[in-house]
Amino acid sequence: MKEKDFRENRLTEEDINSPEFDPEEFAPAPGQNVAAGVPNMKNSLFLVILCAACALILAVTNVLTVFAAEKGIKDMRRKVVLDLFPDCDRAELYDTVEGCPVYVVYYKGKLAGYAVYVTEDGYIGPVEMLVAMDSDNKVSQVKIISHNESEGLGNKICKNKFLSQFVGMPDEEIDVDIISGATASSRAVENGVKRVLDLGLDFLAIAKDLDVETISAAEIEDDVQKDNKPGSDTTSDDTTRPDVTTRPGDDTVFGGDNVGGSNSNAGGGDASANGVDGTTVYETETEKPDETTAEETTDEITDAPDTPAVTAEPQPPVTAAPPSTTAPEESSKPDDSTVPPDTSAPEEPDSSTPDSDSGESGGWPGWG
Amino acid sequence: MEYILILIAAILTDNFVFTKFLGIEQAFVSSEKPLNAVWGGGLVTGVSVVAGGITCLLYSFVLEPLKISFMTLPLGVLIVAATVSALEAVSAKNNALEEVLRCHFPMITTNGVIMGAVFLAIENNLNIGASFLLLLGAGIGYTLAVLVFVSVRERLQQSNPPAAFAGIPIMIVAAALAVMAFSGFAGLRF
Amino acid sequence: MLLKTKLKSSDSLALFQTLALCPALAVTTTIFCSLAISAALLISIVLSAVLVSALRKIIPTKLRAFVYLLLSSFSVTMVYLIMRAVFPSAATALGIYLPVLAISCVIILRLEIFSALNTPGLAALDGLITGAKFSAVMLACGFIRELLGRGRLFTSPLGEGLKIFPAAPVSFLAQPAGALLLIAAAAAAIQYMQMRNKAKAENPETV
Repeated sequence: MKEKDFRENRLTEEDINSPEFDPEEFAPAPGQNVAAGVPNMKNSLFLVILCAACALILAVTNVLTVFAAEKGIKDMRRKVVLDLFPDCDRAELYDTVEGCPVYVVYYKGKLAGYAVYVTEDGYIGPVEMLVAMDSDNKVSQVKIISHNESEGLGNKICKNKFLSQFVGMPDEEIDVDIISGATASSRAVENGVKRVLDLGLDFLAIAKDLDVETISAAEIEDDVQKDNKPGSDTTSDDTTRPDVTTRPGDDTVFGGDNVGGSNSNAGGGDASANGVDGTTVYETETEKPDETTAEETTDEITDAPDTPAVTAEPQPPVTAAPPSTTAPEESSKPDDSTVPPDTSAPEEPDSSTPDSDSGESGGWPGWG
Repeated sequence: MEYILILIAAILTDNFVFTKFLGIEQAFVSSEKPLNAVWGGGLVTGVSVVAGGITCLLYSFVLEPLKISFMTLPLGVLIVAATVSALEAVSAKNNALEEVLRCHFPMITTNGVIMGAVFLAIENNLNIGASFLLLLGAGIGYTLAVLVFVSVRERLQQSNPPAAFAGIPIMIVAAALAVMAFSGFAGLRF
Repeated sequence: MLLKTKLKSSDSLALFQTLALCPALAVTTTIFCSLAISAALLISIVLSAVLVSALRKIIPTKLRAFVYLLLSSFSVTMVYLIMRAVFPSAATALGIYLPVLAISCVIILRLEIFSALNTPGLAALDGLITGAKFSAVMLACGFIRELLGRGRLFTSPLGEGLKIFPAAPVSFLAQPAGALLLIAAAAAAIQYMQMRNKAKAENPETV
């Protein structure tokens, strides 16, 4: 290739740094556009070969990494489920019933409960929630994974006060207290919970299907208390924890937020500028009577009653509030647990405080 | 209704330029005249719908089923570039048209709005109709942003900022103010 | 044809390059995200620079824009595939900003004006320097925005990080516009320094 040809029409560093840089000069003259030329066979062939080479290398990389990546996604999803069952140590995808993924959770290898991921249409966009069910087929916790409801009204559905009223359904046929001004958003959550109940899932049937032992919430509580007695709360080691944790915002791995929503986050990534952003993931701790206690207590999460899957009654705040600043102590996780450590107890504090930086835009990128 | 919301969101509340900073550099420097800006924005909208639409179709019907979705990015980028080249070739036949569009072509291939919209559609599992609307909305939103920036720059030329802020800094400040102004649309209700 | 843009003033190109950083800047709300996007940018810019300069003798001039785009998107996809496997939460955090990196002018401009004219070694060095420059800006931005915008440091998927301030002192900085104002302030500061140095050089007594 001739040097002149090589340099033809090319922008160089000198051009850019020169104070007299006149881009006008470099704009292609009419009719002389390089790209507008007739396709050259040899050039096209080069591009095709290069494309093929790139595709091949990417395919090889994809094959090499896809296993690890899928494991990563699954771990992230299981982690979200496990957050709803603080004492449990393993979560697995059980089945997809009517389009709703059902996860089962284990405590020391025994089936402890299940959680259903369900999406309902809210006022603006879909409201994605995870409904945790205990061994009595009762709702133990509801968690909003993502939503796009309006700021100040619709996003009240993430508040404990609203979500905790679903706990205990269907036994406690309660009139759902609709948030005024956010009727559609409230109804979405209500419908979601009802839909989960209508799926007809049965704890014992699942256990039979999986051929595993079961454990009730009360038994877990006893067991945890027993385990906690000998050791101090702070002795559980953080080192064995898996690396599968997610930011609070990563909880949207179940699905991205709706672009149509007015509260979709602007900054992407961890860019939730304001904690009460549309896609913020909130958590309801059913026993937590007061949100403010969450900020003060840090170390007591590991106490026995930290089993929202079990109890619907309010507990002393100290025992139930999640830490807001430090990594949670996990002594409730038995160290002699027989389950593999890679799916052990959640490591990350769930930010239930409204100012937590848990907003997240974008779900799992699906382009790879 | 949902589709209209997607369109409006892409234009106003989730404007790619103002809330995601995609294509902000092109929007800021590409035009100096409002009419010119509309041409440039229209061109981006057209390429966005055509090339982005082709990419989305390819993704849903070829790449995803074959489990080679990692090729979306290289293919999408090349499709956009090829579309731009084709448009360039077509416009080269018409002198008047080329005169207007010439300065806009180079910037489209590196315009983040198109690929951003494609990947946002993929990330959110939008169906084909919604993806097209998102791409259309992204293009219109970009046009709006270019118009805003053209006006801002026109106004800036008459202003007299502090010496330290003259030039680039004041332009970025102006862009930030435009971004803030657009964040007001987040309160849009239906 | 790709980069022969019709810019009216020499100011425009500098502005263009500054603003080209912006899509990446939108993600830099925390140090973690800044690190993720910086690493992605650095690796993909070096990889594509080496590829372009290795192929520079056989790249058809007329198709070079396509080749640059192909190779840079190839590099970015490569980075994504690896990041997805090694650190999935980082890949998730970057979302659509990772693919968009491929067509960022930061990369394409370096390919056109340096890598395509130099040997792979030099191109890699140039890519490294360019990437490091942008990474430094993004990390600084992430640091300031996380510290002042959230009152925390080192927030990441692994933990809540350190709480430095009880409440976010300048929560506005966490907003997208905050990043722009931060960059504007930095640019103004640099300009001010330059002006002062210039004045000093011209008039050493008075300053």
